[in-house]
Amino acid sequence: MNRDSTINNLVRYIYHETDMRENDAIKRSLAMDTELREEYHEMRKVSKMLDRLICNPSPTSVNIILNHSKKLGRLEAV
Amino acid sequence: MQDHVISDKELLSQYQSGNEAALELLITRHKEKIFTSIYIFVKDRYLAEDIFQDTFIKIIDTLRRGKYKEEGKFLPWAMRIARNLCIDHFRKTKRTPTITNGDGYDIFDILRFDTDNAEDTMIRNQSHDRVRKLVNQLPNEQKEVVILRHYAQLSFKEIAKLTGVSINTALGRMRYALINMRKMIEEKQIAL
Repeated sequence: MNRDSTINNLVRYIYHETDMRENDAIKRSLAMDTELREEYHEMRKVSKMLDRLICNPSPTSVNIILNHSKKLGRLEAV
Repeated sequence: MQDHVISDKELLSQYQSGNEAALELLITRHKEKIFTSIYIFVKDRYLAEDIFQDTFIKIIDTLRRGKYKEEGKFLPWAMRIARNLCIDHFRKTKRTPTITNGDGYDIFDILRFDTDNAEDTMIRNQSHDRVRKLVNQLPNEQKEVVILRHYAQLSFKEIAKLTGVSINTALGRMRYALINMRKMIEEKQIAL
């Protein structure tokens, strides 16, 4: 397995897209390769930071959507 | 109605059978991720609100007409609609997502970190501006992968299909987005 392929698998591993067999292979690579391990920890830190960024739509937007649905429901019932 | 017990698929089915509360629960469950994605993409609070509304109105109309054919997850489907509406907007206005409209609003002004204690809140407030600069400095293609993976929760395979690149390209873009952000943190000695 070449370096690019290993690193692509590492990204998939961070995002829980690898299967158990791939996980075992990645864990072995991480145990043997200091540079790879360092890159893994750095990418994971930033990934966790991004996961915590959240914003909300206004309640008005949600109400407009719900009212649109209710209006359609009433029209269909006629 | 209890959240996290009923699947999205079941909620969609209940809504199509006339249960309005099922729609409200679907919106509550997914509004943050869909809105955050739109907002990061268009960088304009008012426009993001409009596109968020249009996204759900399109979802409602599709469901009401019985045209919903997706067997997969609800969120990726909703995000594809949202993304297409963002792209349509930029096409119509002949703007690109790289141009801000200068309305004085910024996504990070209202961004909150998903934390719940006073110490975290203080750290959050100190970090807002720093994080904003990091994400905004990413090249667009890297920013898009970040949005689609973190907020739309698309798999890399789905991102590759949606953006018309190979899965290795999508993975490479994410890798460089994370590395670039980390480098910026180090270069500027930013504490996050």
